Amino acid sequence: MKKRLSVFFSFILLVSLILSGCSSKGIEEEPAASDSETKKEQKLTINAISEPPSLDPALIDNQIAGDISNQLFEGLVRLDEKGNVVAGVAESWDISDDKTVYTFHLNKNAKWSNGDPVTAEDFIFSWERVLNPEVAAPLGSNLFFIKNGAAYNEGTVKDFNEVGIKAPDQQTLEITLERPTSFFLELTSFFTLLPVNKKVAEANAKWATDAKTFVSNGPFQLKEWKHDQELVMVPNENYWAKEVVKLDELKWVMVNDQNTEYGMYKSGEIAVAEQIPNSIKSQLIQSGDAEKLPSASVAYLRFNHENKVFSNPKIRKALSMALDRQLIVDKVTQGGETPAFSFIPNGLGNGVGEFREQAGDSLYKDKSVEEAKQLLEEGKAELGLSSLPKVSLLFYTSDLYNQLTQAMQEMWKKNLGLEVELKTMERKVFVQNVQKGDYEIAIYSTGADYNDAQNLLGQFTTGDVYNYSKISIPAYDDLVKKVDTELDLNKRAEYMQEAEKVLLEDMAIAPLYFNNKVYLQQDNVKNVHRYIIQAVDYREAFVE
Amino acid sequence: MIFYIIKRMMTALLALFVIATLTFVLMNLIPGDPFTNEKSIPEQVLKNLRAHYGLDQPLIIQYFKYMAGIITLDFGPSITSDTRTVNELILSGFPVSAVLGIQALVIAVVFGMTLGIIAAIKHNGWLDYLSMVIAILGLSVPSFVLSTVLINYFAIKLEWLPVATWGTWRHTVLPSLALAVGPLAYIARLTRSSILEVLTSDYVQTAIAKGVTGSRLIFRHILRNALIPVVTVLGPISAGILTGSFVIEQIFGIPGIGKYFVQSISDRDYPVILGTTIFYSAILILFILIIDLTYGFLDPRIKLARRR
Repeated sequence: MKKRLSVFFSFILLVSLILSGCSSKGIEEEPAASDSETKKEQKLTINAISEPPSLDPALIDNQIAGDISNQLFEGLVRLDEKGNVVAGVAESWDISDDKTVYTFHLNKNAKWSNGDPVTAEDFIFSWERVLNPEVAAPLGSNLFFIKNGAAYNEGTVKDFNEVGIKAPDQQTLEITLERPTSFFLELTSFFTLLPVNKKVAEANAKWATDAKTFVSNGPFQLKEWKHDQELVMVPNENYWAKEVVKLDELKWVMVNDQNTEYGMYKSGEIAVAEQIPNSIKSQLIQSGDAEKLPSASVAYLRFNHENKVFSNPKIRKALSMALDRQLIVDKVTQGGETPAFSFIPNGLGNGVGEFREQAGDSLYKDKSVEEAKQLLEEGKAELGLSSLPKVSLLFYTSDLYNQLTQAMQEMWKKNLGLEVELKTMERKVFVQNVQKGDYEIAIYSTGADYNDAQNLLGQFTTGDVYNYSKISIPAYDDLVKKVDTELDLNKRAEYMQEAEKVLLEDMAIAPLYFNNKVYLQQDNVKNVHRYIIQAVDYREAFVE
Repeated sequence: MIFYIIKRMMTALLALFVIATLTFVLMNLIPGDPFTNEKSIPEQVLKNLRAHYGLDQPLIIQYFKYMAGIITLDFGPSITSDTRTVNELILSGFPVSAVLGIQALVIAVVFGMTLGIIAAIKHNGWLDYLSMVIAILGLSVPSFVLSTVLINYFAIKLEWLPVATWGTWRHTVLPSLALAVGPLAYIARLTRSSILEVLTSDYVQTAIAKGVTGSRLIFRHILRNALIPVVTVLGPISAGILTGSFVIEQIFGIPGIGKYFVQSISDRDYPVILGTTIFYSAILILFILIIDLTYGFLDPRIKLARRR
């Protein structure tokens, strides 16, 4: 008995010894503490938020991976700090008179991090992959502007020679478009269109999964990639403009939690915080600590136009008018959003300038309780109803939407005496319900994929597959069609403005607010370039 | 004994098969698929993506493919991640979660039992109340609140430890503590109540009457019996702690496996859902088996296999 007991306890002791021995294994010893002491050390640590699902440009479908890959790769063109198109891999380009043929002349000094020259062949290889249905590139539609691009992706055109991507020689790339596309040049800097090294990719299909085999052509190259943990970049010695790269190291950690990120920012562990907790966001914006940048995305109310009640424009208008968007932004969402009195978000282009600057930003009003009440009465009369049936507002579960919908429910109740039932569900279930048209009102948000307002207009035309609201306004359809084919950019911009007006005239949808990117950046970090849609750029960043 | 273990292994395999099948059915019952998204993705691109991952095939064929993979211990590619397979996700994430879990488990067992023993011996004394206040706090304060407090105090104010991420032993201190507190409190309360129960039993009263006191009484007579309920809960607790905590890993930015249990479901990343579920089930079954085996050590009255 005695023996057994002591055996048992020595077993426990042994196990705990082994276990505590294990616990320090597998974790690196701490690096020397001298790292942060020397001043002006050109090292930046930033938060990627989470592991990039892929760094192979063709397979990237989210901003995180896009931001990371933008430091590693360089497209045909890049953007300068003001967002103007400047030379990237292409040192110059010619555009044909009919604006459908782009001839890019590649920089002879453009090299891959393994020393290979960047050739037109690499671009053809990369873009063929984006369009190849078997590769299943999630953002393949970014190349649908190229002649036969969509057809090749659908499989109706089998021969890639029929697609408008040609290389007359190793230094020249000739792109033929379906039709003039004013934003195509800027689009070539977008992450889906970044090149990969043909030789490397053909030799090893998994080249993009590990730092050792990773070859890129941008300002930085990948030194280390500990999945789910961190990603370390160093300058690419073969980069054609390596003299403008000031950083010695660019490190990305992966911390998902907002509060933790803010803590790391405060303690100086990271240089930039991009997902500030909402509880302190407005305070930081007001104190000037946090910066704000439009993010080309808008939250709006979808009405189901197949529903009898919401097929009536007056009722839709009444609901929109009874809201107080400024109050919602200031007191409810508090994320530095801009109240929306139009649909196309701030900062988005129209081919000749910024859309909102030209179109103005006040296409309708809200907070007009009396008018809203009257409209509601008229609407009811038109439908022959003495009172509205109980309607429901569908949204996916999130802290933000929970609060937002409660605020709106209260506003509708107080201002219109209208009972709106709140219905919440998990995100993908929500999306599926909306796609099936199984809702009355839903909160939706949409963002632009490329820097042109046209991007957001197509989804409300009659019969469009993304028209989950089943909107059908013939005048609007006509205008959007004209936008698609109009060659004169000024006229095209006017059509887009006109289309937006028609869409909002009867409140086919009710925009709520424009999202903004709110971020903190340590004072001594300079020259980080941020754009509306394109990924962040650390090429010329430095620590002061 | 060997026969008993083999028998248990066989039932474990059967259990895993049932779990895998149920998980497959349930996850396909959830509306939406990996590519359901608010974004306007062209129908053709969606079709290509579904074909690429074999999701366009009939469910029954998908089921047999998954099962064939599981038998060869190949859980297939992750749909969300293009860089790693499910096996790689588990192989890289589990050691991290396990390191964290083992540290937390050691803290929880050592301090939890100590607290419980102290509380029981000093029954109704101030030490008892103090221990139990600590235990109740530990049980009722959610780990994310505790984590935030720990970060704010030790990392931001005092700057003793890093706020988050993973790499050195210093990174493991705060998350281990945060992870340990819940189970620690549970073990403390359980230890206390089972010691109190044993204390009133006849054999202990006899021992006391015979003049046995102090550590001899506690360690030789009481603890051995009192430990059985504690050991029972250790199985599921260990399995849970070792396979990672979504909340703690999220808050501290730890590259463990915990987040995949939750994330894979909201992503509808089917292979990851199956892989992590089967992995967790296997670990849980293994720990329950180990616990059952230790009963024999603790209490000879418990017999695992029928004597022949």
